[in-house]
Amino acid sequence: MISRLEIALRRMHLGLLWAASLLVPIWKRSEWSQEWRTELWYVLRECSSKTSLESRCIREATRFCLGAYQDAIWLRKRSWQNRHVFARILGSPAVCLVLLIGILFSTWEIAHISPRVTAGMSRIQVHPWLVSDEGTAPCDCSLDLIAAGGGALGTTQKFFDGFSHYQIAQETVWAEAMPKTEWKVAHASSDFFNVLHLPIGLMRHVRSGSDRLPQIVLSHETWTRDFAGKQNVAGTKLRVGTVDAIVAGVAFGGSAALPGRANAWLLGSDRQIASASVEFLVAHLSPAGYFDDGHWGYSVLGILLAFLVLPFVTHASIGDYSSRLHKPPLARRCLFWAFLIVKISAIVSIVYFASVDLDCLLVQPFSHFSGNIQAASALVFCILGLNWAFHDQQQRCPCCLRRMAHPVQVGQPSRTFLAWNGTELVCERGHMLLHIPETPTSWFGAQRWVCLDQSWQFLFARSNA
Amino acid sequence: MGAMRREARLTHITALILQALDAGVVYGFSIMEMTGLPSGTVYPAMRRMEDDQLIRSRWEPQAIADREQRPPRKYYQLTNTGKSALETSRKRYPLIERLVPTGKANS
Repeated sequence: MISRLEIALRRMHLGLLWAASLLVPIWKRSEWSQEWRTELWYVLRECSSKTSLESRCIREATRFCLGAYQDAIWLRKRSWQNRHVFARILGSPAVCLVLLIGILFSTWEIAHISPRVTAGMSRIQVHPWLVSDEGTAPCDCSLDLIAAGGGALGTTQKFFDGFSHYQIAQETVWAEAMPKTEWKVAHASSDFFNVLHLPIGLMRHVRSGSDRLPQIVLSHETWTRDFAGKQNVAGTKLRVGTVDAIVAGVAFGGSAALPGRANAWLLGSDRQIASASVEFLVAHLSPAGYFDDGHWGYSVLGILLAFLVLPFVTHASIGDYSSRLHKPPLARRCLFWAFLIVKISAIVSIVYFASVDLDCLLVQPFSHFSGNIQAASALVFCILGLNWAFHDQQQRCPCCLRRMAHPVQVGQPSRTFLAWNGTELVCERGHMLLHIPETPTSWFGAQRWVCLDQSWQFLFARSNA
Repeated sequence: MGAMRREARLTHITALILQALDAGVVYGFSIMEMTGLPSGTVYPAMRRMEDDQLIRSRWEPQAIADREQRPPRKYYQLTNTGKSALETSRKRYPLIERLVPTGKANS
């Protein structure tokens, strides 16, 4: 008579097998499920014929059922590999390098095509200047500008892609809902914010037409102090000195740091200012100027820190050879190390550009956090990238540089004739076996390469052909 | 297509399983018992060996299993390629025959 416990255990084992079968690709599920259930029946029968200990049979059966999960995971991985030839192609060293170069090019290119990143790279040079009637036009040329005070705008040669200017004047400002207040108003050209890539928030489309009013952009401080942070402030009419103006939005980002500490910027009104007052000439550095400006140092700092931290967070050993006599030729081994160096160089370059891109995407222009984010992201990216580079290298054949394939678990301790347990991988072209111990020991601490001699080559003749 | 078949890969596990099959052990669980390899290793290895045409498998007819009141089993046997691979593995691992003795070795 079958006890309730036995029924429960049988159901548990079948349940385990059923759950494992869910991991198997659907077109093979029924076949494998049938094989496991059949084998489980024989596992229990064999065990009960050998021992009367019920607990041992339960352990055996449970172990068998858990092994089914490894089968299922292997099947799932293999089906993925079969369906995606891409995975096989990735094993090639040439493809690996092409991908890395592609990523490197993408990270470099993002800085040039993404408007957000370009805006994030904004850096502005400001200098007092005498009033000039000449209009300013964007210029992508290299200039050394001499200011009125005799100093140079840039002490070194820099690349600018836009110029603008503004003058500060004390003005009385009032509106229907606002009493008369004295503001420092910056009279600027109409393209001031566009040229300098300064962000404007809470913008609203202003009515177009010949009778439209000049636009005024409030500083963040003024908006919160005089307008109580109203979200619908855009469109409000203001009387600024002798002219009417309409609020176009609120300036965010680095505009607060501009000299003069203006409460607002009145756009397109530069001709109405007394020519005797001091004007500020503002130049926007091009993305190339961003790098010239010493900002690259943050990324380099992050990368250097990553190299210092690396020995503590990764296992950088490539492994030993099982025999000193059987090693790949010296030229092959040199190529193996050269491949690693090229990968690391590519990763460092990717990290450099990616950290700049991320910094420009996440942080508002002119933010004090800018350098910190750049250095931190470079550190994290570099650690992750170098970890991958070493892990990838550890599983590449020293002869052909292809990824080792077909991992299999080699037994349990004390049950195999090789007296080690772990994972064995094989080079698909038959050059090497790779033994990775599951538990590093004093006699088998690091992974070990085993050169396959000519007697093995007949098995791989087809793949080498 | 024969010409397009996947190339064989002879590892220690493959050698053990080939030896066990040659010794007359033809079922999955029996191979596990004989070689000491765990279930999560044996079945994938055998499936790979089948793909490499080192072994072939066949389900036992349902009628035979019904007659003996047990579920049908899937049994495995060596192919000619498997036999030649086994010979190579024996040269490579002389101890393998001691670990999984065949009837020939015992006699």
